[in-house]
Formats: sequence, structure tokens, C-alpha cells
Amino acid sequence: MSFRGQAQYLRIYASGGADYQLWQNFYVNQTVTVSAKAYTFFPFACDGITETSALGGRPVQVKFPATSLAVSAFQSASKLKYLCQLSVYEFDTRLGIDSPQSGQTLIANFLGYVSRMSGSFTALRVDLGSALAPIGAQIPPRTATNLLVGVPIQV
Amino acid sequence: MTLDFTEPLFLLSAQTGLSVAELQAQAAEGNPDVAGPQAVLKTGEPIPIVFCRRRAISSVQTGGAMVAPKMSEGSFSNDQNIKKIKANGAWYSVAVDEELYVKLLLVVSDGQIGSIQVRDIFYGNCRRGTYNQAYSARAGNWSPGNTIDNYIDHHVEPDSGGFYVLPNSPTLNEWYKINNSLYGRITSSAAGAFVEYFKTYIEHKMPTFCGTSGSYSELTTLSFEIILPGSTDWNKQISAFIRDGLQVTRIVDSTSGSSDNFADLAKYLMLQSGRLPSDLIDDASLAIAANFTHTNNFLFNGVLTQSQNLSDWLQKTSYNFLLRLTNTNGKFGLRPRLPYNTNYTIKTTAITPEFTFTEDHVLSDGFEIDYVSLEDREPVCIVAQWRQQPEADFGLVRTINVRYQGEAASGPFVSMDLSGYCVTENHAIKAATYKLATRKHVTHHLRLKVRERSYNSSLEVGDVVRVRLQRETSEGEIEYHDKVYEIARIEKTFGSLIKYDLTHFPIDSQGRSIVAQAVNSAVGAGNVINVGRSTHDCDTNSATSTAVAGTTTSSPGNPPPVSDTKHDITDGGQDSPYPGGTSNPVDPIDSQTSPSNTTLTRPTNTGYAGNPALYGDAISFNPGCPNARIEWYLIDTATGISELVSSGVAETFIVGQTAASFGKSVYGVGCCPDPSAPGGYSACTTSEQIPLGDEGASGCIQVSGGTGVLGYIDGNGNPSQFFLPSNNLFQTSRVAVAIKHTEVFYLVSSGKWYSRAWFEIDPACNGVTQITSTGLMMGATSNLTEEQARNHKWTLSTGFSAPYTPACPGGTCSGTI
Repeated sequence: MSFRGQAQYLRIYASGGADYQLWQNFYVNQTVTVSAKAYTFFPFACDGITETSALGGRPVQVKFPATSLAVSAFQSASKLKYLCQLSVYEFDTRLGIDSPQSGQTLIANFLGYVSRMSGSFTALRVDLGSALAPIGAQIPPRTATNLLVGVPIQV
Repeated sequence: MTLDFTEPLFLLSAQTGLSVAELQAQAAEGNPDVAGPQAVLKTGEPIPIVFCRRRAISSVQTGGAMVAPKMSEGSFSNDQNIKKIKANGAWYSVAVDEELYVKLLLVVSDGQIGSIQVRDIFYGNCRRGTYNQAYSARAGNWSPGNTIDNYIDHHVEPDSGGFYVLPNSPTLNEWYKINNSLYGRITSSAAGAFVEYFKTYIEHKMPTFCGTSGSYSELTTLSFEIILPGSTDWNKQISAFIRDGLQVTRIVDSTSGSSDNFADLAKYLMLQSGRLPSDLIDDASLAIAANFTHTNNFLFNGVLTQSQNLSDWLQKTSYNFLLRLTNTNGKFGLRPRLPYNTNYTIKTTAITPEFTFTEDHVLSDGFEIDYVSLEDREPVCIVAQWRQQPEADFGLVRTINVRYQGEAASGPFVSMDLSGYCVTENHAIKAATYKLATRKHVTHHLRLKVRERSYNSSLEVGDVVRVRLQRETSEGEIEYHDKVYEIARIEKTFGSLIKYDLTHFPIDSQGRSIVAQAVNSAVGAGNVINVGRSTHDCDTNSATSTAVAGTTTSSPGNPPPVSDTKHDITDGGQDSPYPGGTSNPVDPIDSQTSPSNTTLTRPTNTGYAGNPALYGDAISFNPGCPNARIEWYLIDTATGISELVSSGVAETFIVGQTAASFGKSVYGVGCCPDPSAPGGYSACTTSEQIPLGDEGASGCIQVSGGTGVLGYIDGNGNPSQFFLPSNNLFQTSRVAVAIKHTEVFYLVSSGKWYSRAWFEIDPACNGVTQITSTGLMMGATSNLTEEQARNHKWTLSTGFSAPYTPACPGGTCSGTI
């Protein structure tokens, strides 16, 4: 029998560090404090995180009930490019599940933007990732524009 | 249902660099291209990034990059220069020569680079000209323009005889253009003497449009100025040897300055791309990568000029620095491909696996192996290209063939072009050796599905693990799959299992990495090809002075107005719900099923809706469409049985004597025309029910040809007069022509039951009728029970005795129930 419990914490915050939403999905109807941040209960689910040394890994997908709070939060996060940090802690459930344990272990920690959102009228699926995609950033990043170099000489 | 889109295991061969994709031959990137005229910057092309650093590596000056910047502005003019000499205190002009004045503005690099030394700048192949360098400004203090031949004062045209006629006394020191010649009368001494010069006119092809300035924000620019003899071709490429390229904060020593570290460049590009905030950059892994490349002298000295995808470029180029681009926890970073010691040198001693997976961990059906395909392990000869970078000169692209002894002697040859940035032979050989060694020794990839354990948190991508699984192929014969692997990918499902994608990590009998040993021992011969020159006969600038270019700048002369180059869109505000409610148009097709626009034309004999229809009344029904087919049904209100009595297009129902018998109602069913429906009609609508007749009347209910008298059926079943002569309605009752409606009701205020008749009268006996009622007569003076009230029957009669005779005599009963 396994006594391995895993709690997921989702932090949505601006790049400067200001928190926008702090949610956890394990302690039902409770607000718990982890790393000096108070996470309220919100029933979301994450189906996995991939760490890779070969690019091409899929983004992390988190599922939410399509409440107005969730839809509003992620519409803002998508529009304003908030960062989403998904942390997963592991702990021994025999030691108590009323509140986070001091000795719990961080087993996954993913950081990304809202790269894609989809869903139904009742469910919301959010992909977390980055924009450094195969069709994304180009180098060198700047090009010769009129603002930068005027209209170049014609020979 | 959950669909799992895990990548196929065989893709790891390509993702880890075993595959070769450079079978097509092309010129190496590092080959110089200095022939031809000065390159022109074109709108829309990438601004190059010069990333290099010349420094001593093992006491040998290494690195730097030769660049050929493109021009964005130019200034062109010419004049006849009079050479004068002095003798015994008097001067004399001795010669007149044309001079060209050429000034160019060059865009060297994005960002700020180090100061360029004058000895490192070439006009064509010669150190000539004067230079100014600026960052985020326009270098030099001249304005773009073309004033070629403006010194010519007069253009003389031939007359009708073909003669070029000069003035009688040509102006001193002015120039006359005569066809393809120049004529000038030039003062030749202080005493006022002059000499006449005839010179051949030289036509110059200079740009007409000489460019406009931009902001040059965060760009490094270089101004070049030179005076040339009139007969010289001005159009030569300017090139510069950059010792200190883009200024960044170096990861290795946290110092601001130029860098030759690939990790510094990777971080700079990630941030400059605007796609990754600093939060998504894995600084810890970049620090390891920076120290790894720094310690092993894997240097980047090159120029990025071609537009390409950052992710692709990082993945492709990092391989040649023995690094891999990683995405861990959402953050992008770089990790060494080889094991390394604490001082970041390549580790060639025994490896200690971080964890050993056994059958205690692996789940059922959790072992999947994929062997490297033939094409990814076929012996090849790698032709590694690198760039021998002399000081202040163009690099020489060198090649070295790297192969395992006795293999691929005659190919296939795989080109591995590092010449764009690799300036050491050892770097090129080690990169080629890594590729060959992995192709030779890495034999397979493994995917393990294991139950969750402590390694949930302890193992990371890049860690080396051991897999030792027992296999019993025959009774009593136990074997082990016992190999060492490097973790290439971790998939944490949070569903009680973890997937590890592992790449074979070949080791020798002492547990040492075979690939690492091969790479570490790969060293080049170290021979240097002598360029054979350090100075040029055509040099006018010093080849040894370390003086740097000037720093004169000027405001952009005629930059495009901001409104021409920039258009900021104001935010349109928040998306909001549509104000107000919904107001959709009625669907012309589906609405046929709605009875909202149906019309039931009822009898209006009483002015009361809901009144029963009586004998002779006509009822029509419109379901909301023209030419509807109407079916009329009689329904027995006691039994609920319906009976179709008539139907037809726009059919009306006329209440007959039978229908008007008590206890029946009528309703219509209207169906609209529909050619596509069986029978030609669809979208049928049913009307409400209308009661027919009434229980409160009996016998004669209509009189024609005169009037009747309103009466009732007495206890014997015979008609009897109702109103006495003293009653107010007595006279009215004598002009009755029809009973239209009767009703039974209970009046709360009096606590009595009543029976009342609505009847039609003809007061003037002239056919003009009106409706009236009996008032509260029946029951008004007696206390009727409900049953007595319902049993009361109103009737008409023409046969009562006086004074109860009709007011309009001669009438006969024309309707009965």
C-alpha cells in the first residue's frame, strides 16, 4: 500500500514577482501556507511534467473547472504574459494530511507562460510552456529598419 | 480517455546528435568574402552580431573575427586640387590633379563592441583612411550626399558650326567643361601669372541616393573617410578585425566585456529574443556550461549574419561545443554532453551512477529498448572545418579528417562546419571525435517505466544511472541487462509512475566513459599556416600602432520623422459583454411550428372571449401561412373522443344544429403547404377548443320575419312567458329574434345562483338588431340551487297569449335546438 501523497501548487505571478493567484489542489477548502505564500484551494489537475535534454518536449497541461474565476485568471495571465509556476510536493500521508508537512519534498517544479488555452463550456485546459518554439524567436533579433538605420544608400 | 503522445524512442538518436545531417557539401562559413565592392545595407536584413574575444590561450593569442560591415550612408564629392610649391619665398602652381572625397557610414554590429584599432581596419586590402567609431550614435560628423562635379563652373555647348566658344577672357581659377575635357585658367604664381590646363574629364559613377540617417540605437557604427586620386575606383569593401566583440557580462567571471563563451552568447540571444524572460533561463546550468567551455577552450569567435531560428541554432551549435540545450522545469539552459570534474575538465575517471534501477523499480511492461539504426552507426569520416584566425587578417578555413583507424577510409565523408566560430584546431577535433565516438559506441536507447520512489526528486536530466535487470532465458541460467545510461528525458505523470528515456552511456571495464576518453585524448597537430604578410605596400596607416578609431559623432542629419517609422496603437479598452438583451429576427422557416402568429376567428355574438359558438356561427382558423389546409374536429367533452367533420384549404366551420347540441366543442388543425413533406403539408398547428351550443337554451332559439318573445321551458316541458308586464325588460323580451348565449353563475355578493340569457333583439322591427341580456332575472327573487339554475332553459316563442305577444308580429321560428 502506498502512503505517497502529492500536492500540486500553482502560482500565477507577474514577471516582477507580484502574485496574481495562488492555488493548491490537495487540502480541500483550506488555505495553506507553503514557502511563506498562502495557497487557497482550487480543484485543478495536472497530468504530468516532462523534463528533457532533447527539445520537443510537450508542454504541461493543467485542467480546471471553467469557473468565472479560472477563466478570468487565465485570460488575464494569457494576455498579460503572467508566469505560471506549478510545484508538486511529495509527502508521507501517514504523517498527516491536514496541512502541509515541514518535511515534504519538492519533486517537480515547472515554470512557463500560458501558451495555449482550450476547453468546453464547463472545463478549461491550459498549456504551460514558452514561446521559444520552432517558429518562434529569430536571430539576429534586430533588422535594418528606417527607425534604426534610416533608408540605406542605393548603389 | 487520456491520449499519451510520448515521443518515439528512436527519435532520441536524432535528438542526441547521433544522426548526421550534413552530407551536402558547401563552402565553409568561415571563408572570407572580400572581393567586390562595398556591401550595402538593405532594409529588412538582420543587423549582425559580432561575438568574439582575442586573448591568450596557452600563451598564444587566439580569437577575434574579421568582419565586412555594410554601409548605410555615403558622401561623395570631388575637386581639382592645385599643387603649389614655394621657392625663394614665392609660390608656384605646378600641377592640377582631381581628388575624390569618399565618406561612408558602416553598421558594424548590434550592441556595443570594443574599440577597433586603426591597424585592424582595411580599405580593400590596404590600411588606409580615417575612422570614427560610435555606439548608439552616428559615427563621424559629415552629412550624406553626392556633390560630384560641383566644382565645374561652366558647361560649354558647341555652336552651330561645332565649335566650343569660350569667353574672350575666361575667368581665372574656374573650370569649363568642354565635351569630355576640362579647361581652366589657373593662377600659377603670386605675381598673377596663370597657366592654361586641358584635362580629360573623368566620369564617376557614384550613388545618387546616399541614404538617410536613423537613430542607430544600440548599434555600433563606424565612419570611414578617404581622399582618393580622381582616377581611382572608390568602391572597395571595408573590413575590420574585431578583437573585442559584443560587450556582455561574462558568466564565468561576472565581468563586463567581450566574450568568446558560447553560454554568454546563448544567454544574450535568449534575452534579446524577447521571448524568454530571465525567469525562464536556467542560470545554474548556464554557469556549468560556461565553465565547461571556458576550461576546455571551446571558444566562439564569429559573426551572426544569417537570420535563423534561435531554438534551431542553439540546438545545432551547442552540439559543437559539446553542450546540449535543455528544458528543465520550463527553463532553458545548457548542459555538458560529457561527464566533467569539479574543475570542469572532461572526466576520464570512473563514473559513479546516481541510482541503480532493478526489477524492484521497473513496472510490468515498463522496459522498452530501441537500438540505433544502421544509418546512425555507419562508420563515417568527419571533415571538420575550423578557422585559423591570424591577427588582423582574414581567417583561413582549415579542414581535418577525423575517423577511426581503418574505418571509412574512402568515405562517406560528413562535413562538420565549425569555421564560422571555431578558431582552435583542438576544438574542432574534439567535436568531431565526440560525434564519431557516440556513433560508434552508443548502441541503444531505453525507456523505463518505474514506480515512484525517492528518485522522484533526486534524479535530473543528464544524470548517469545504472540499469541492472535479471533475465532468466532458460532454467537456472540467469543473465543481467547491466548497462549505464544517461537520462535524456523524465516524464513525471503524477499517476504513480515515472518514465525515463535513457541513452546508452558506454563505459570501459573500469567504469570510465569511453566517449569522454576519446574526446579528451583527441588533440590536433598544432601546425599553423603562415599567412605570409603583416603589412601591405599600399598601407598608409600604421600596421603596428594600437591606436583606436576616433570617437567623433554627429546627430543624424535627416532621419525619417518618427511618425513615418513608428505607429503606436492605443489599447481599445476591455472586452465587454454586449449591452442590452437579445433581439434575434424570427426564423421564417422554423417559426411555422410556432402558433404565435396563428389566428382563430371566433364568433363575436356576445363580445366575450371564451363564449360558446352557437348554431349558424362561422369559425375560421389561420395557422400563420397562406393556403393552409384546415381540419375541423368535434370533440365530446364528456368522453374526449374527437371526430373529423370537415377539412379543406382555408376551410371554415359553420355550427350546425347537430354540432350545436350540448356537450361538444370544436377545434381546428392547420397545416402549412410544404412540397417536400408527404401529402404536401407540414408544420401543423392546433387551435384552442371552442364549446358549441349551451345547456341553458331549448326549443326555438331563432325567429325570422318578425320577433319572438323570450320565455322559458316550464316544469311540463312547454314554453312559458318569463317577464311580466311590470318588468323593465318586458317590452324588450317581445322584440327578441335569437338567443345567442346563456350562462349560469354564482354571485358572491348575494349568495345566489342565477341563469342569464344573452339575446338579440330588433327594437324597431326593421332588421337592425342589437344584443342585450336578461339581467339577473332568473334567481333574482328566488333562491335557486346550482342544479336548478343549470336546469333552467331559455326559449323563444311566437305563440304566447296577450299581452305576451311579439312586438313585431308575423315571425316564425327558424332555428331550434
